[in-house]
Amino acid sequence: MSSKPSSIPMIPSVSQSLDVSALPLPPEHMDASPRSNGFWGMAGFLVTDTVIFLLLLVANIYLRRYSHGPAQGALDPGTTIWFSLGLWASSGALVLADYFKKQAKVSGILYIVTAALGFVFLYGQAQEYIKLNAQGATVDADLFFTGFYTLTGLHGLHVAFGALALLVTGMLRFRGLLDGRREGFTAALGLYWHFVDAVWVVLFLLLYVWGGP
Amino acid sequence: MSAPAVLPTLQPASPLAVPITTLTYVTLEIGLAVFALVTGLTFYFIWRYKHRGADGEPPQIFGNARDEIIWMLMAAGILVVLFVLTWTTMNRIDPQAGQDGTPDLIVTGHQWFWEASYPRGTNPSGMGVVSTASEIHIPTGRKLLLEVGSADVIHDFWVPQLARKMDAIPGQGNRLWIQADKPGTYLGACSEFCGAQHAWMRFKVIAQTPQDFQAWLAKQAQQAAPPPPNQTDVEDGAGLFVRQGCGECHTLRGIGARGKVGPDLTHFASRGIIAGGVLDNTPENLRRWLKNPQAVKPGVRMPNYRLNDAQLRQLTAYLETLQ
Amino acid sequence: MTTAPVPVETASAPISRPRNLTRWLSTTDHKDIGMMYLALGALFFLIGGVEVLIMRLQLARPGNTLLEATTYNEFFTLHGTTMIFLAVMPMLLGFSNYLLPLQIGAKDMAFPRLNAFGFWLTAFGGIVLYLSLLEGPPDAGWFAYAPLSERPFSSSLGTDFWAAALLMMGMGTTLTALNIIITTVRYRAVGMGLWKMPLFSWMVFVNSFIIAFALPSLSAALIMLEVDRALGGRFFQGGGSPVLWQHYFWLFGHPEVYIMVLPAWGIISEVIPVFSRKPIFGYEFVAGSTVAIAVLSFAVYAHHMFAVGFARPVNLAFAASTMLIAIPTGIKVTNWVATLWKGSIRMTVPMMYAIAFIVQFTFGGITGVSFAVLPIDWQLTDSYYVVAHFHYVLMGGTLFALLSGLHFYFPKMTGRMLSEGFGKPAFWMITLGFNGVFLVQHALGMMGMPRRVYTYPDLPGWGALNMFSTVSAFVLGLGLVLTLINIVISWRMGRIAGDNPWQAWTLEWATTSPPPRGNFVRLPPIKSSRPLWDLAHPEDPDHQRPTRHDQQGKGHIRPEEKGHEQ
Repeated sequence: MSSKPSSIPMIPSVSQSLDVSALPLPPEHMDASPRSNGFWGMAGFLVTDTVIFLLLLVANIYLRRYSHGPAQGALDPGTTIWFSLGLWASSGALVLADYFKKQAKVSGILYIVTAALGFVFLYGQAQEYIKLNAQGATVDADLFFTGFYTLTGLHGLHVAFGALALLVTGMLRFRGLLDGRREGFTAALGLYWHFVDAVWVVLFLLLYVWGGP
Repeated sequence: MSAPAVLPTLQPASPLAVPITTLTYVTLEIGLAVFALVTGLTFYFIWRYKHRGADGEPPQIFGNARDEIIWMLMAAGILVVLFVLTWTTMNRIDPQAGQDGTPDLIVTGHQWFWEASYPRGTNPSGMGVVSTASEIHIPTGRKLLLEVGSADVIHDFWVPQLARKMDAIPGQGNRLWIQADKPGTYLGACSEFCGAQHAWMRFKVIAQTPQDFQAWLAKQAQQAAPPPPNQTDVEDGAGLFVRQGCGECHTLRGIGARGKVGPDLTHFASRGIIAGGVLDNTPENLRRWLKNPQAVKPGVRMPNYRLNDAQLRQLTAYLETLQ
Repeated sequence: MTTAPVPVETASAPISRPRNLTRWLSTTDHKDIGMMYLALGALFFLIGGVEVLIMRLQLARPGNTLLEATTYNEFFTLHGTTMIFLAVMPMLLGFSNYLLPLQIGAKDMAFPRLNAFGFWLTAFGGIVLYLSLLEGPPDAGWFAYAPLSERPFSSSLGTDFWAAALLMMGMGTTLTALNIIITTVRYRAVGMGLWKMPLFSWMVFVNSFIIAFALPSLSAALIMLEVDRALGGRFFQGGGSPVLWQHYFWLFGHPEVYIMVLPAWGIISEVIPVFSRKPIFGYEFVAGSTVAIAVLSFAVYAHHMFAVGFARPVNLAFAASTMLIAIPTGIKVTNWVATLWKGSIRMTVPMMYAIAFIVQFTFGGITGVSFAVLPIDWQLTDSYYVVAHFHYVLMGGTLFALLSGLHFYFPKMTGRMLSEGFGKPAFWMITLGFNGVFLVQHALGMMGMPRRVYTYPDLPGWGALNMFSTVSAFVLGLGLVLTLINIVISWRMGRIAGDNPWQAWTLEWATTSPPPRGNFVRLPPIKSSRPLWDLAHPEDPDHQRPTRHDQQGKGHIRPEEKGHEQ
C-alpha cells in the first residue's frame, strides 16, 4: 500500500482500549413509542399505497372531462351504498375485536364477522360489475369507466386480501393460537383494514356521488 | 446549395435559433468556469496536502457556516443570471403562438416519415391541397407558424439550425415558429423515440426565395402529369400502380389514389430522398426499395409486394416521371 | 468460498458466513442480504454491460448492420431497465443493507424477513424481465412512452413482462426503503442522535423517503398501462392522454435519478474524510442539503418534458425548480472539496475513485444545469448530449462511487484487502475509457445526432466520433473485467485486513471484518459522529471541541495543529 498506514495513528480496537464488560450492549431500540414495529411498518406501507390511489384518482378526475360514453349515469349508488355500509360497519366490528382481545372466543368471532362483511362487500361489487358490463359500461367503453374499474378493482383486491387475513386471524384467535406476542401483526392488520375502509369512503364520494369537474 | 452544417446547434441560420446558440455559449462558458474552479481546487489540494510521511493527524476542521452561506449565495447568483437569460431568450425564440388562425404549415409525424401540408394561400390553381414528405419547402425571410401533430405515436420535430424542437403528440397540435434567412438545405430528424425505424425518420427543410418557393408550390399543387405517350413502361407502371392497390395507402392526385397511410406521391420525383432519408431518390435506389422495402428499412409499414423485374422497371419508370 | 485464516484481531469473534445454498436462500441477516444485492447487481451489470458493448459495435460505423432496428431497440430497452433497476439500485441497496445497521450500531434491520422478501422480489423481477426473451423482449424504451408502449404499437408480450418485472422490483424496493426508515428511527445505538449519524446512513435514510414516495408513482403508471394493454382501457390511448403517462412516469423518474445518486454521495462522504484524515467539512450542510434535494426532486420532474408544448409559466416554473436543486447539490461538491483542504491526503484506490467522482459528477451536474436553461433543452433534449450528461452523473458519478465503496468496504465485508496492483491500472482504464466514451457524445449531440437510433447517416465527423466512443467502451469494459479479477483473487488471497484497515472513525469499523452475526459484541460510547476518533483521542474528543465551526480561522483548531506538515 502506498498510503503507509503505519504513519496513521492507529485507532485501537474496541476490545483493546476499554473495559469491555463496562460497555453497554447494543440496545433493542431507542425510541419511546409504545407501538410495535408492525404498526409503524404498515403505516409506512399505507402511505405508499395512498400515493397509488391518489394518482389513479387524479387520472380519473382529469380524464373524466374528455369522457364521451355511458359515463357515471350508469352507476347505481342506491344499491352500492348498502354493501358499502356493511364494509364501513366492519371497521366497528374490528375495533370491538381488538377491544375484547383478552377473551379469545369473542375476539375471534368478531374478527370472523369483520371478514364476513368484507366478503359481502366483494359479492356486492361482483354483482355490480356484472350489471354494468351488461349495460355496456365496460373498461374500454369510456374514459370514466377505465378509471372506475381500475380504482374499484384495486380497492377490491385490497378488500379480498384483508378479508382473507382477517379470516385466518379470527380462526387462530378463536383457537387461542394468537397471543400477545403477535401484537405487531394484529396492529398492522387492523390499521390496514381501517385504511381500506377509509379509501372506500373517498372512492364512493368521488366516483358515485360527485359529478366531476 | 451549401454542404450541411457540421455543428448545426452552433451554426444557426435563423433569427429564432441565433439566440439559442448565444445562450448555449454563455451557459457553456459559465459552466466551464465553475468546472475549472472545482477541478482546479481539487487537484491543487491533492498536490498541496498530499501526505508526505509526517506523523500525526492534520488539523481537524469541522466547517464554517459563513463560508457555506457565501458559496450558496454565489451559486444562487449564477443561477439567477441564467434564469433571467433563459426567460428573455424564450420570449425571443418562441413567441407565444395562439391556437387561433390557420398555420402556414402543418407537419405530421408518421411511423416513419414526416408529412408536410400547406393549408393557407398556397393553392392558386385550386387543384387539391399540397402535401409532401421528407422534404419541407419553406420561403426565406419570413416567420412561419407550424402546427406539429402526429398520426400515431409521439415524434419530435427538430431542425437545429432553424428553430427549437417540438414534440408531435397524437391528439394535440403543438405550434411553433420557424424561419430561415438564407436559401439552403437544413437537416432535421425525429428526436423522440418512435419505434423500429426512429433512426430513419430524417428530413430536410429546403428554404427557397419567396419567388422560387411560390413556383415550387404552384407546381406541387398541380395534379400528377398523365403518362407521356409512346412510353410503354411508364404507362404500364401507372396501370400497375392502380392494380396493385398502391392507392390504398398513398395519395396520387390525378389517378384517384387517396390513401393516407404513406407519403403523398403526386410529385414523388421532385424529392431528393426516399422513406425518411434511408435512400437517395435515384431510379436504381427506387427499384431497390420497391423490390423489398423490408430489406431496406426493416419494420417499415410498406409490405414487400414481390414484384417481378418487369413490374419493378415499369413502376420505377412511372414514379420517376412524377416531377 | 474457502475458509480464510482468521485475522488475529478477530480470532475470538464468531464469523457468520453462509456455508451452502440453503443458507443463502433462507438468510435474513442484513449482511448476507447486502452481499446478495451486490452480487445480483454485479451480475446484471455484467449483462447490461455486454448489451451495451454490442450496441456500441452496431454504432461504430454509419449504416452498420450488426443489429437489426428492432433488435437494437430491444437492446437499449433492456440495457436501460437492467442498469437502473437491476444493477445500480441493487448495488446501492446492497451497500445500504450491509452498512446501515453497522453504522448506527444495530444488530440487524427492523424487519429481517421483510428484508429478505424485498431482495427476492427484486431478484424475481429480474428473472421475469429476462423471461421476456421467450416472447420477444420489450422494445419501447425503459421510459415506455405511450402510445408507443400501447398494444397497437407494441403488440408482443415483452412490454407486459417489463411492466410485471418493474412492479415486482418496485414493490421490493419500497418495502426495503420502509425497513430502512424504521430501522434508522428505532434502532440507533444509545447516544447516536440523528445529527450524529454517519453521512452514508443519513443519505440512505433520506433516500428511503424518496423511494417510498416515488416508486408508488411508477406502480400507478404501470397499473394504468396494463389496464390499457390487457383490458383495452383508455388512460393513454383512445381518447386518453399520452402526456399523462409522461407526468406519472417522470414523477417517479426524476426522483429515481436522486434515488440512484444519494447513497453514492453517502459513500463519497465517508471515503473523502477518511483519506483526508479530517472530518467532513460542514456535516450539517451536507446532511441538510440532502433533505432539500429529497423535497425538490419531486418538484423538478417536468424538466424531462420541456418539448411537449407546455404553457410558458409551467416551463419556467420547472426551469426555476431545476436550477434551485443545483444549489444543495453544489453545496455538497464544495464541501467535499473543502474536506481536502488542509488534510493529509492518501491516494488509495477508493480515494482515486472518489476524486474521479467529484470531477465527473461536477461535469455531469453542470451539463444538467444547461438543460434547465430551456432554450438549450429545446435544442439538445433527446440528443446524444443527454446520453452523455446522464452517463456522467450515473456512471461517472454513481458507478465510480460504487467502485470507491467496493474498494473501501471490501476489507470489512470479506476480511481481506483488494490488491492495489490490480486496482490502480483498473482505475485508469475505467476512468480513461469512461471519459472516452461519453465526452465525445456531448459533441455528437451538438452535431444533431438523436438518441435511440440504431444507425445514422454518414455525416461529417459522426463516424469518427462514434468509433472513438466504441473503442473507449472496450477499454472501460477491460478495466471492469480487471476489477472483477481483482475481487476474485483478493477474496481468496488478499492481505488480511483487520478490523479497521483505513483507520476510520465510524461504528462499522469497531467490529470484526467480516462482522459477526448480530454485528457487535460491545459498542463504544457514542458522543459524536466519530466515536472511534473519540476513543483514540481521549484527550481531544470531537464533542469537547469548543465549537464545531471555525469562526475566525482559529476557533477550535489546537495550536499544534496549525503548523502541521504533510
